[in-house]
Amino acid sequence: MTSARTIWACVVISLCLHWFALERHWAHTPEPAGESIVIPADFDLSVGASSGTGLALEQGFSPDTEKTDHEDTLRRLRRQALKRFLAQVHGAVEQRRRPPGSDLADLIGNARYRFHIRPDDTFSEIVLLHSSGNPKLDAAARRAIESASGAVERPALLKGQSWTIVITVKYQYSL
Amino acid sequence: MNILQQGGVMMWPLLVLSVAALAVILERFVVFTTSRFPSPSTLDGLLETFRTQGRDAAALKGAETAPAFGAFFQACFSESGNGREAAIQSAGDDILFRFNARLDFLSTAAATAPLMGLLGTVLGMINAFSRLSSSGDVDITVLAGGIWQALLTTAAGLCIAIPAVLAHRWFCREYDKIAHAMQHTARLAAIRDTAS
Repeated sequence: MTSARTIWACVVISLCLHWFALERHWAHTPEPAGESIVIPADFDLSVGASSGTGLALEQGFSPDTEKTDHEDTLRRLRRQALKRFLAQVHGAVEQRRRPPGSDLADLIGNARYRFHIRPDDTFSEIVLLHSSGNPKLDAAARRAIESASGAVERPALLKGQSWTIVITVKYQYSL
Repeated sequence: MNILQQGGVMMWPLLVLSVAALAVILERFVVFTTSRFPSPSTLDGLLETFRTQGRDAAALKGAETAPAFGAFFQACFSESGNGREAAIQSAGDDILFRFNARLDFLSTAAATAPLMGLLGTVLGMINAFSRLSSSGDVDITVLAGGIWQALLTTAAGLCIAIPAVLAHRWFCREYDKIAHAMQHTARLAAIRDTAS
């Protein structure tokens, strides 16, 4: 085989290898931010307080600035309302994660659940995504979510919507 | 979405560079592995043939043993005279030139790929911050989305550069070994010629 043939054969092989490599999905494709929302484990915070601006991300935005587009304003308000609502849902679950008389003080673990918030603020389709490793904690977390169902009323801005939520219920001894 | 589209415009030149660099690595690998210089024991056999059967037999055996070095052995075992040194030098230079072919491209690709990737990242960051400023709202998803896409080009550049550098170093090492072996053989042939 001559040198020219060798290099062209190598170019063809190289093209084929690149084609195979590019066909694979190396990069994580971002999921559309539609229905499914993940609430981080440390999502407590100032949002529950009625301070108006809640999350730090909104603090960079001043409502006094020249925001004239009503759609943008409405979208921003909806996003803030949703964050506040989700924080309240998270808080409600956290409050109920240790039922009276439970013996969970010597246990540690994080149970991750997914559930659906229906338009009437009740929860459905509660699914354990990641076990804490202890069936007692998993069951307690499920009971906390079930008992928080319907406990938080959504703002009027969010009426009629439904979301799928992923939430982590954290148990760290008696903390 | 395809990783090429996600990475931005600099992914396309990087892809071309990657295809070319891999092709050169494969081609040079074939050349260096199929055209090996005879081992010391084979060389001893050649010199023994030279001593016992003469120049032509040794040159023929050398060309059969290592076809890529046929001209070099022909020159080594030629009649001693004014033109012999120059013939060895010329044959050796030709062979080394063939082995050295496209190694410059490989070193250039290894040096350029990370820079091209970095340029793609900078362009992506400019785009991300531009979108962030024009949106008028601090949204971390806009920034994070732009940054991770921008970093794809740097990753692609490094994925090209690292194998290219390693392959280039290995090819250079093989080239040096061949050059040294040819010099050594030419000296040995000259000594044997003088002795006989």
